[in-house]
Amino acid sequence: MAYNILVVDDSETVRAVIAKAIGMSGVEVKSLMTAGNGQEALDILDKEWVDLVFADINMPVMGGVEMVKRMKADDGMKGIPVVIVSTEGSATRINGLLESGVRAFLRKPFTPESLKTTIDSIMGK
Amino acid sequence: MKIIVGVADMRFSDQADDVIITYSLGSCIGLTLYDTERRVGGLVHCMLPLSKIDAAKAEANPYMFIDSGVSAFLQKLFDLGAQRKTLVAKVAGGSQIMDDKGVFNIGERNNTVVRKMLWKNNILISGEDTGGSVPRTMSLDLATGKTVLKIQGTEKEL
Amino acid sequence: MEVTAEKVREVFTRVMEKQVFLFAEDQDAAGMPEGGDWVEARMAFRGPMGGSLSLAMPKEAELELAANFLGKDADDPEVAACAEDSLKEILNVVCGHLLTAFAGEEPVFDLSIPKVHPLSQGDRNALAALPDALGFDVEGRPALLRFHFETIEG
Repeated sequence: MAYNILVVDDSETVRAVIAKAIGMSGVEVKSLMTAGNGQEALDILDKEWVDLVFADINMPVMGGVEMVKRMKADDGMKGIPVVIVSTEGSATRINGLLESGVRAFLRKPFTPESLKTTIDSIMGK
Repeated sequence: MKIIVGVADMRFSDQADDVIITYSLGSCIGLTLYDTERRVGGLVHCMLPLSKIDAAKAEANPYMFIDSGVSAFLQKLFDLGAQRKTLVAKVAGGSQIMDDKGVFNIGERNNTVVRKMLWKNNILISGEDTGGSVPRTMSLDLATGKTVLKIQGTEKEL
Repeated sequence: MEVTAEKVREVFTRVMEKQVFLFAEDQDAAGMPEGGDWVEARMAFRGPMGGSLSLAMPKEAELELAANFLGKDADDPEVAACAEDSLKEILNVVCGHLLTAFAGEEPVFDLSIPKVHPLSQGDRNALAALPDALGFDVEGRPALLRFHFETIEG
């Protein structure tokens, strides 16, 4: 099965690096979409079918924490799995995110192998 | 046929009855690459991380260093028709052996550079057994594409 | 909370190795070679304590870092375009790991968006002279790191 994946990060470079790792993981990608912040991501999620979201926490306009909160409050978006990819190390914040419905947390620096393991576990492979 | 890979050496094959093997990987890195479609593969055994410390040696034998060795190894497999997309990579070795000052860790650096080279070449590591302080024997069976490790008498598939 | 130079060095070295496959070794901050075009990335953090993190290096070092981050050759045009972003990202990751190393996993910090600017020789000398500035040799190229924090009252 091929997936529609959305990568949310304010850095184009980081988006490219995550996209490269997704490409290496062997997961079949139908469409890879990108957004520069949480608000742009919500706009895309509102219009497009998305199977999986990778998002940063620290972004201008709207960060990952607020984005997840709004997704969970929206019937159309709340079921979409979100993986937070961040340098964040605070267990308080990570546990808060997981409790709010984030499916997985990938701490930077991540490896393409750890990203593959995360995708496989969420997509039930 | 059993093909033995020495230290700072690489062997490859497209013959299904070949097994490529290297013995006593310590801080050195053993990397097997196998194309699951084309059924070609090989094994490289590199000693040191970066070729820039001795360009002349790397020129004479690229397989001494991981950066030059992985590049040369990949080129050989591509020449045989291997494709990046169907290459399966397995890594072993990189044991933690300290030098006499107890600071410089060649095994860990070797692990870092093999990761760098595979990241650069868009190849995921499908199996890895590195670090620790044990020597490893690594082999690639061309019939199945399986990489097997032998550690202190015990065999396991990577 | 006690910030030791040894621990800062250890975190920086580890992140550089894991994220951009570069080996950073200790060097005296005051003994950096002169000349060359340098850049500095800076960011601030706020939580139970506040502070800032700076990372400065020559442009060529920034390019190599970006090449490794992207997994491309240093002369690839995409690498030059992504050089600043890559430096910001490394700073961001180093900052996250320094905060956990020193403050533990309980406190929550907000990090600012990193900024990059050119660093003149004078500003570089001033940075290197600060008591908490640390020098590195990153595979033959110099780098300066400064982790500065202050306790927030109340």
